[in-house]
Amino acid sequence: MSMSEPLVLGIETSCDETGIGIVRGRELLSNALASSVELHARFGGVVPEVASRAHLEAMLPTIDLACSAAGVSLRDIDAIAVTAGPGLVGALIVGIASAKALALGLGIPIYGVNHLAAHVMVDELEHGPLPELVIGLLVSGGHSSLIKVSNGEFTSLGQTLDDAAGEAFDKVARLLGLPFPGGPMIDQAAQSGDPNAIDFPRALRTDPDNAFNFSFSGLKTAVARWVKEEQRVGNTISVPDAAASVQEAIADILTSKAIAAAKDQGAPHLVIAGGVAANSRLRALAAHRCDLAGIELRVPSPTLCTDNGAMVAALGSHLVRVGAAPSPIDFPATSTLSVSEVLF
Amino acid sequence: MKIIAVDTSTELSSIALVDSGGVVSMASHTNARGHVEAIGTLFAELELDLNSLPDLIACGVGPGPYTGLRVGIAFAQGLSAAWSVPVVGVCSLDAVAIAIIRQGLVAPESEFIAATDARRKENYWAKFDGSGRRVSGPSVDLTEIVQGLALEVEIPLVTQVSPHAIDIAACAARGDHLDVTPMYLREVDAKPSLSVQL
Ligand SMILES: [Zn+2]
Repeated sequence: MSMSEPLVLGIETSCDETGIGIVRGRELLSNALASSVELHARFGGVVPEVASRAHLEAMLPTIDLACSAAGVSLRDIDAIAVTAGPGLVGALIVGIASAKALALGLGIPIYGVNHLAAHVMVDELEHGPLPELVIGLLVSGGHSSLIKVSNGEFTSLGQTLDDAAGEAFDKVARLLGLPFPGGPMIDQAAQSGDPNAIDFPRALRTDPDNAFNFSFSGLKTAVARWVKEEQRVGNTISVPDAAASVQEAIADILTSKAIAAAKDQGAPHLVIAGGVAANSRLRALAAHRCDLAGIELRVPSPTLCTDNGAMVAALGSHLVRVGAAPSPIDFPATSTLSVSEVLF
Repeated sequence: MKIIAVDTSTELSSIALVDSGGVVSMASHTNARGHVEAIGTLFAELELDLNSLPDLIACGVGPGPYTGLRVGIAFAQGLSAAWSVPVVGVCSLDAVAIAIIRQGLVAPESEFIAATDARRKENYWAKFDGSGRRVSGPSVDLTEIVQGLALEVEIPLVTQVSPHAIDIAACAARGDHLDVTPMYLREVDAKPSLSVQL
């Protein structure tokens, strides 16, 4: 990797992870993370004020960590990228204020970028430049979206109409008495369960008007109903069977729609990103179905799938590479931001 | 000693460059919801020479509404990291007290209470001696309680002054250095959301 490529520092504070990543071009140099997830566990979900307080405390130590791991000094950085949205406004603000100070203090450009686009772009750090036409399946606690990436342009093909996939995992985990965060717990419990034990619904599977949209709220209701019925007839709830069956339903609907989208758009590549991409069944089923369909599957490593600073740096680096104009210094934090708005 | 000071603990965002007690440049903006938008522009208005850095960065650490408060602190911390210049905290009400005395809003040498808006019909407040030194607080209480207290001990209550970066710099210059940690004063009023947001 050439030393002439720009050194970009990325800051991510949209939810409960304070992420600072440093890249040179498409080379990942460091990806430091401080998480407040344990502080939220007792509330059963992310409490925005708790997250914002934790971001402010973690910011400088995490920047230090990222710089020393990368073996660079802040004075070496050529550009700053920071998540401008979507996300929790109070949390985003901490990252944006820090980023503006770094950019102004160092006299370098700042890029306020889209969190969702960053989730897809991070794949370049591991698997090289994104092909001309890619479908992105972005699945996390807040999002389930199908995105078309064509020559760096991001277009939304569809999204969840209600709960996000990660949210569905969390809610179902709670119904099954598993702790927050639910995704990893369900994945673990499912290892010893039968994925075909219970036939949970696959919403919008054959709805042509919602070919690339998702709906997971019915799944949560179905699990609640199943638990109640099992209890009524006096059966012991099999958490592994329920977890495996729910996981199968979610993985099935996500992968079938992602592959349908790739076929529809004539895209030979699929990227799966976001925290739910760490789910073992989703990864396995996607690999199997992409094989059958002749689609190349790209899934970043788990640490690059969950929220992190390297993904923001990766998108910033892309924007520097294509010569995008930096953001105006007065850009705001934006709670909702369409994936097509890559740069503020 | 050259100090850059920032305060975003009230609706007023301000930033100032002060050298040996004299104001070199300053900028401010009034908008409760616009702190993170304004802060960069305000800094740019200082027209600071990046080849001649300050010796110290000072930031108001409140008390004040949290979201805005964190903008100034995060910004000050960021400058500190970028320049490797130390950053210190200053109680924002201490800066208010300096302004109150400078503006002659209370009789010379008299004790007084300085208070700012804490929303929810409450005030952030602290009690000061005649020289503007804090003798108790800061605290957060219902406005009527703060008013009652001022009446009871018969000292003036001043509520209309916002902390300004110039006075934050003055506090820092006289050695009032606190940790760079927001004075939240209230525990998190946790509304458990059902799930993660993103
Ligand atoms: Zn995310």
